[in-house]
Amino acid sequence: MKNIKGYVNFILHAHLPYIHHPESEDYLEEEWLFEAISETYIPLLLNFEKLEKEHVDFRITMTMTPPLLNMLDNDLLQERYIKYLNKHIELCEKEVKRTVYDSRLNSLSHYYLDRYTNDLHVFKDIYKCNIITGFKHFQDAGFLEIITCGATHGYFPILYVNEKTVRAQIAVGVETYKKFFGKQPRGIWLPECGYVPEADKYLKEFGIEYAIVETHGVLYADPTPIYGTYAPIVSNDGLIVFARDLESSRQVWSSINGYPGDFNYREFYRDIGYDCDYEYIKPYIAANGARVNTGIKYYRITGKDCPKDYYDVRWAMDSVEKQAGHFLDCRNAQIDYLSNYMSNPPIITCPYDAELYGHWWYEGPYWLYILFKKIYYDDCNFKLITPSEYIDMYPEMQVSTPCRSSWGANGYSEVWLNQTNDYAHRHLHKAGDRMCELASLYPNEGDTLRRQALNQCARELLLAQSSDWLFIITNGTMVEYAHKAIKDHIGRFTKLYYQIKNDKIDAKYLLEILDKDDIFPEIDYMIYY
Amino acid sequence: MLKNEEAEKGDLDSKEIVEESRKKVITENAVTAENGDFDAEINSSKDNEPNKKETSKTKTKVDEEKVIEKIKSFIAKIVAMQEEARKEEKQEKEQKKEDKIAIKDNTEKNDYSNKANYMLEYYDLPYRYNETVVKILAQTPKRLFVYWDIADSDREKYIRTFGDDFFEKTYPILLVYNEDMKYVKEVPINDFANSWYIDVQDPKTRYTIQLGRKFKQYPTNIDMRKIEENSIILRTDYLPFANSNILEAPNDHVLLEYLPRFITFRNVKTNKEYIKDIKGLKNVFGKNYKVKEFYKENYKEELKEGIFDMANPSSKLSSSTFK
Repeated sequence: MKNIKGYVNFILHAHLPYIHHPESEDYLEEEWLFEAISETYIPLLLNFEKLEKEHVDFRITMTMTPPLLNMLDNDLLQERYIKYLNKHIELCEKEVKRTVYDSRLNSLSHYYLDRYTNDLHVFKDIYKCNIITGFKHFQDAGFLEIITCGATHGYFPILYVNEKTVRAQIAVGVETYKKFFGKQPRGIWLPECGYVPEADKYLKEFGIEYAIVETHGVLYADPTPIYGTYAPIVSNDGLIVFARDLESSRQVWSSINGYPGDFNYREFYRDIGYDCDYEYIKPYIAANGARVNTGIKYYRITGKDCPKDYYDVRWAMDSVEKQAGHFLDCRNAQIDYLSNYMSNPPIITCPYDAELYGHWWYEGPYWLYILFKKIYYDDCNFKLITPSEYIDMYPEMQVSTPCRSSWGANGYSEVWLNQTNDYAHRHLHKAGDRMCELASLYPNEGDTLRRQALNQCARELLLAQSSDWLFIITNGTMVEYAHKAIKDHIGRFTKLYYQIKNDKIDAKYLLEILDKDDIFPEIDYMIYY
Repeated sequence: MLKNEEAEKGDLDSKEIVEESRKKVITENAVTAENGDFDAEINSSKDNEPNKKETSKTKTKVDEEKVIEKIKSFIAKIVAMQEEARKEEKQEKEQKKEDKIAIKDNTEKNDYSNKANYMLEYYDLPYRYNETVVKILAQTPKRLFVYWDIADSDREKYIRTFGDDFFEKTYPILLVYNEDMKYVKEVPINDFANSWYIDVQDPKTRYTIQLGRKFKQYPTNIDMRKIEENSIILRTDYLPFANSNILEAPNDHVLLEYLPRFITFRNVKTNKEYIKDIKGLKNVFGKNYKVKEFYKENYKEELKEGIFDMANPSSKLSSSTFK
């Protein structure tokens, strides 16, 4: 019989911006989704499935953001993912022939061939092209709690200048969740963990009970939370917040000695997209001929500043087991100590980008599998829990106003507001004001064409507000795409705004942009009223 | 089959638009719509785009009743198509998924580039919206971002009042008001800028910013009648133009110095609140619970540095690989 003294709360935030280009297959950015399905979402589902089959009672929380849900549900993108897989299988088959001279390399080629072939089988035959059903299954079975997010990951600390635009992000986020999961979400991942107290009332209005914030969202709260980040707090408006634990976060993600840096793990930066002969790899890289990652990587990290050795799956698995054991021991010690000081058992909140597991840290999903198994079977003093379960068990918490914060570099808004991207904010604010103006000028519009134009305006505004564009610009990669996304969505919004106001709606134009920006088919622009 | 599936996907909005636009296209091209083929109509409307004016002239000559009849027959046709699609969908419910997968499986044979002829789009963001506005955002607890614009009508108002050289004899400033600490800071800016970063001293306090102009030399011969007529405020040598939103800068440290002795707790299920005396809290060792010691022990590395290292590895590593 275990002596449970505390809880660990794993949260994976699965999000990608809405990239949908029916007009062309040449947008490399569309592959972000396909890479994430193959490297993160399917591996997570397969590991959850193994745990379920082995009767391991695990708990995990995941955000599935509205843009991601809309993309996973999109017929065209599903078709293109199958095409992506078929192309990878074709490349792997070539690789099996090309590497026949080297047994280690050849076994890796076979490994990738099996993996992509299995992805195709899982995607088509098991999930019938829609992996949302997979995640829904684990939620319905009680292992997974899925939470929602802002409609398009709009960053609240910048949008809240016009509070109605924050309210709309929340409203659409909640509605999208209900559509896909058939129930009310209890929690939200605030886009970029961007917390502003002004949003609390809207979160409560749409039935959200709790949110996740960065460590200092709670540590710097007012008054100071007496149990630090080891217990949730509740704001005056009634929003419960859980904050990221620093210690466990460091162990996993420290760039110096974090788990993903283990020498046995797969090296991310050695990809055959860059390593192979150009003419040979050309059909499998970008349409414009630029070398890009293919996902087929043959090397392990090996060491610092040394020639890279081939990746060995068994060695990597050994490291996973050691590290899962280390994580478990550390949480045991942490909880053992903390429980002496707490009125309720401590909760250690461990939030991460879902795409880190599998895409960046290739072995991450397997690490979760091993860790969850250890937690279930080994002698330890804690259990896995979801935020909802913890709230239901321990509903008494300190009243305190969380600190305005985010989980971006340096903890505030520098990533989404700096000299590279600050030009965008006036346009986002102006479009937000104009959307509210349209809603008040044409409330409950009866004319079908005008109503659809108004709804499309709402879609364009939401898409423009995605925090991803600002992040990409700051980050300095694929910058042109992000600049263009802001221009296109604001441009389309503005064109429609004038067409509506001048009563000259171009139905053909409207149809065309509806085809391109077809997110949120059921949206009602009256959320801006 | 695929067409029907797409039409029946439950996307009511797009269906409605399609119907609406069909109606429009039908009306505009009633003369050309002889064969009753809907797709041909769409195509003809595309092909005849440059001749639109000519078509609309011809349109007026067409018997209205005929047009209405045509519209009715098209709508009836569409409704019939939808009903048929619904029937098919019901009958083939079991088969549907497999069909869909088979279609997707053959995507290599499909050529999406020819799926539709999308019009070329190009947009640029306007330099300004010609409105009087000042907005502030917090970049960090100690740095604010402000952007502004002055509408042409407002500019003209000042020129009318103070003469054509108004913008030469004045310079722009931002007045940063700390609403909680009750102080004002003047930040000189220039006429080429429309945004600025401002360093401030006090986190967790509220700020507003006022955009205005100051006279380079104390103004003389001011026509007070014109000032009143144009509803202009003049404070000695300063003219306020516009006020920003109120913004609270984020907090930047653990508020141990303000730690109250009594803390409110709430049961989130019942919403009942009660007060706890921190000094009355005892840990298992029988000692009094001390918040400061708890923080020092658990966050010692960060407190030693005086600041928490908030650099989030997730933001730095993962997302960047996708985006």
